Amino acid sequence: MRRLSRRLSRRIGFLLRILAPLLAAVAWTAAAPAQELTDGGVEAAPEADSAIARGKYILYAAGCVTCHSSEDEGAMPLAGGRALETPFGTFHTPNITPHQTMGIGQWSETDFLRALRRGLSRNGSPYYPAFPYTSYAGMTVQDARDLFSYLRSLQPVANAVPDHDLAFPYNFRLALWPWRWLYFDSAPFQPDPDRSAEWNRGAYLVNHLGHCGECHTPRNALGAKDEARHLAGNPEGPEGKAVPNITPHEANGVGDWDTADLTFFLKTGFLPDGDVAGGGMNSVIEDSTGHLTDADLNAIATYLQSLKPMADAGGQ
Amino acid sequence: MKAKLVAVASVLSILSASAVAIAAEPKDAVEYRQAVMASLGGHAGAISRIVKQQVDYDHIAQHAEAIAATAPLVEDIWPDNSKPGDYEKTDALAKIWDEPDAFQEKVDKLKVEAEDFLAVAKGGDQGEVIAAFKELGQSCGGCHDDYRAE
Ligand code: HEC
Ligand code: HEC
Ligand code: HEC
Repeated sequence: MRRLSRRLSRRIGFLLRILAPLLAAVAWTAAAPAQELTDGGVEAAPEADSAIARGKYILYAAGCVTCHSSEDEGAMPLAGGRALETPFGTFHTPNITPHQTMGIGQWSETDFLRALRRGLSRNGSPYYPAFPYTSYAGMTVQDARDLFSYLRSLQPVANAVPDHDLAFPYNFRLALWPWRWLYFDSAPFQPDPDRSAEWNRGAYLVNHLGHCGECHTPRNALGAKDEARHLAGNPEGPEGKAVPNITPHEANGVGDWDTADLTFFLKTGFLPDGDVAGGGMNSVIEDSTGHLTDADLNAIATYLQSLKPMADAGGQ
Repeated sequence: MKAKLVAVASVLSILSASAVAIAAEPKDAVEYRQAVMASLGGHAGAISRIVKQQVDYDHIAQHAEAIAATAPLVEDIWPDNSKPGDYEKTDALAKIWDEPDAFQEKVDKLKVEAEDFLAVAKGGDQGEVIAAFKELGQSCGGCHDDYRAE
């Protein structure tokens, strides 16, 4: 019996090792930011009366636009078709405009919440974590509903997206189950009552909506985020490039940045020395953090500055 | 006759100017390029300080002038002998020389955004200035994303 289970666990271990690169599939190549949204000019606002205006703000805070918009000249935002190239194949992001056959026009709100917060498709099969639902799982029901209202309000765009082009065995969705079972936590965000409202807002924005850890947190051998090194830099980020440490470590992180340095960077892209971020962060700023209110940017800075300073792995 | 002489002289001077540009050692060409970039970064950094620390707000237009005056120079700082294979201390990617049209678009974008920013810096309120500065930053970041090594 023990022998059997050891063999079984070896097998599972093997399966997971094969799968590991899949998780690094969050290695998207979303470099170029997307086109302006064409939505009848709703003003995105976090506390607006209308669900649509709040939902547009969530869309920005959660950075959905870059991945779900093609880089082709004149492509419609959110109509899908961006090719996310990874070592084991290419993901083609789906059309999430309300088109009846090519988008999510036939989806119910329940379908949408299940996709975003549980990573399950309408027919119950799991999504690849190249869609960062592992972070979005913590999104509040209210925010997810508002986001759905906004997406429903868009013009449907007829754009048929090709299937993913993944190599064996990554093309089998079933293989995602054991990984999910080990690593996927679909618990909603739990505010910490001992912290300020601002800190909690920052934690929610960074860890769930903004999914900063998908790039800034390193991954273990099985491709899951190494939460012990939360936001302490990822030597193998998207496209195999290193993503910097954003814990408040003096030498390796952003310990010498003050609040204004952080918020100004997230708003404009300018680093404290006047240089400009590239490498993926540029589109995060253009399609996401650059649209946030000052209050939310301050909350993000407050949260980042409260983290335990961590040196780079192997560093001082 | 005098006109002809002037014409010949100016052709010669153009020739010799470009001859000088080509003759620059790869190291010199790269170091000059980095210095041009660093000067853009220097003025952008100064603007960031002004906005963040709320100091000398009236200086912003001067820095914007400097950026607008420097942007056109970015056109000329990619001589053929300054590729990564010519001098390893460059962060410029070889793609720059492989896809000149796409790269030129990035240079043009910078020139346009630098002019726009200057116009806003001369009269806009702080919100407008920051918004235009962000646009300028996107034109820098858009090129760094594709053509500069980390
Ligand atoms: C890092 C890139 C990325 C980001 C950011 C992202 N997605 Fe996706 N999304 C994907 C990929 C890739 C898929 C396809 C996953 C699969 O087929 O397993 C997907 C799938 C989906 C689906 C399922 C569509 C269908 O037809 O089955 C929905 C709905 C969706 N995303 C909505 C969103 C929303 C809303 C956001 C922002 C809150 C978002 N996505 C952010 C990459 C992304
Ligand atoms: C798509 C991947 C990705 C995501 C998502 C992402 N980042 Fe980044 N980030 C990067 C990369 C790559 C850099 C390095 C950019 C450069 O140096 O050109 C970076 C740089 C930074 C820096 C500057 C650090 C330094 O020392 O220069 C900060 C601060 C930062 N990111 C904060 C955030 C926050 C906050 C979020 C979430 C709202 C976030 N990032 C989401 C990829 C990402
Ligand atoms: C057309 C492309 C392009 C544009 C536009 C551009 N850059 Fe650069 N930048 C580069 C490249 C390529 C390098 C690497 C140069 C090298 O190492 O040879 C670089 C390097 C830099 C550096 C580092 C210089 C050094 O000391 O090594 C800074 C700072 C910088 N850029 C700032 C800016 C700022 C600020 C802007 C916008 C106002 C900007 N750049 C616009 C392509 C561009």
